[in-house]
Amino acid sequence: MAKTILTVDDSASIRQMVSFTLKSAGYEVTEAVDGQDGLDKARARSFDLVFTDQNMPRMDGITLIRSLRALPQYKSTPILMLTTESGEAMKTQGRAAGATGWLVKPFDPARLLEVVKKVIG
Amino acid sequence: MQKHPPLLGIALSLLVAFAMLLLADTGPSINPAQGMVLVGIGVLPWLALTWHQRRQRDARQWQPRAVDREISGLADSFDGLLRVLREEFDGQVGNTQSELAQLRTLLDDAIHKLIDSFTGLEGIARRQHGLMLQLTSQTMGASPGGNAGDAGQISFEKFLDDTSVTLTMFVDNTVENSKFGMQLVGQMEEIGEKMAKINQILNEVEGIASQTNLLALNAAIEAARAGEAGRGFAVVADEVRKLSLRSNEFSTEIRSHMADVNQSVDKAERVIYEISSKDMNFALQSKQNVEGMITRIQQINAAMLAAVGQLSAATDEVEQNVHAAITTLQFQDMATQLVAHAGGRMEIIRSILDGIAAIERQHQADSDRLDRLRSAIREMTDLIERSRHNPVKQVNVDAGDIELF
Repeated sequence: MAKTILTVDDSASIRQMVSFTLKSAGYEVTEAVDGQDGLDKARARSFDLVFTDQNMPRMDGITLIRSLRALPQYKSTPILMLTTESGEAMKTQGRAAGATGWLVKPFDPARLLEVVKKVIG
Repeated sequence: MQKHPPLLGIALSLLVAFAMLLLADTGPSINPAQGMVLVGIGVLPWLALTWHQRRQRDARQWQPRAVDREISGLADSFDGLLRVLREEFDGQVGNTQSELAQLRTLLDDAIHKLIDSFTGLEGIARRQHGLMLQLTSQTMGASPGGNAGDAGQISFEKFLDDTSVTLTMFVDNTVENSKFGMQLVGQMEEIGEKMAKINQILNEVEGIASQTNLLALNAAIEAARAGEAGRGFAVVADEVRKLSLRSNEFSTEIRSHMADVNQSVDKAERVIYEISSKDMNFALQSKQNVEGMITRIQQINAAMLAAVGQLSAATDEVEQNVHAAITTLQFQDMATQLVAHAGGRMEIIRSILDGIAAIERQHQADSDRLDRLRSAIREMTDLIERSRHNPVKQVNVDAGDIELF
């Protein structure tokens, strides 16, 4: 059974590219348009991995991570930030919120898949 | 001088009066009226000075009012200019933001289409590769999902080997049969030789029979010469001669049969030789042809495998290029964020101008207006601080860093 991944980003093109990359490798992908949408979808069903952007309307990525970590089913689920933000202060905030890793855009599909395989196999 | 004008005026008047008195002392004596005139003359400078000072004071009292009027006019002009500026700036900001929104829409549309194109291209390359694999697998007799480099190749090689082995067995058997045929031909030749010897023996037999016949004839002549006494011997001689004749007939008959047999053997020998040589030539030729075909098929197989390998490499290259395109196309996300950030900065500038323009001069004292301005700027501080944080630090579209915590 294919592993399930939730990708949260307000950029439709980024969602499209992440989905294409992951689906090509056999993963099942669900898209969310912002942090709140991501949280709603994460509550509705569980995912093996979550990708999230930082700067989004309604709810940003770090807030989403905090919200997800507060849910029992997402205590240990890998959550990766995929963002243009690259400042150490922001990374520290993300790490404190419970992020598993930090990927700075633009992403290379092959390296993205390597990270996914490393994190969820 | 300005602090004590009355004292100075009095002092000056007294000084003039005193000087005139000194002049009077040195000249003819004066009467009271003249004295009064002199005092009056002494007081005049004081009056003049006092009048001058009052004018100056009055002028100083009137000057602030003129400045105020001038400042007021300037402030009105400034407010008017500010309103014009704000309206113009609003228009410019509005147009710029509209154009930025248009740029975002164009970028979105173009990027989506480009992504569709690139991902579609990779999908087509993969399907092409899959079809090629399927084609080669079917040609090679392997399952469609199999890899042409292992299972399919083994199957096809096995097919070629089996064909070669079967053909070799067939050719070997044929060659063996031909060899047997040639041995048979040799044996036939031996039979022919032996029959020739039999013929020689028959010649000997015929010679004996002829001599026997001749002897019997001589014996009959001798028996006839002996007369009555040789009558019995004549009968014997006659029987011997008959036996020699019958022997000769048998010999002839045997020779005739032998000739038939010899003819049949010769014929069989020729046929066997013909069959053996034909089989061997055909088998050798067939083996050569099939070996050539197998070699050719192996070459085609190798070429197909090489083509599949190249196609596979080309598909990988397409995939890598599409991945590179995907990485590069993410400039749109960065560009969109930068455009939004730039739009935000413009919005802040407009808000500040709105704040400044909203301070109504006629309702506020100058000091209050400054306070309001400071307050408006303070209100913008948060926005200004946020605008200082640029969400995009990248200056190129190289893949970003990855850090796992």
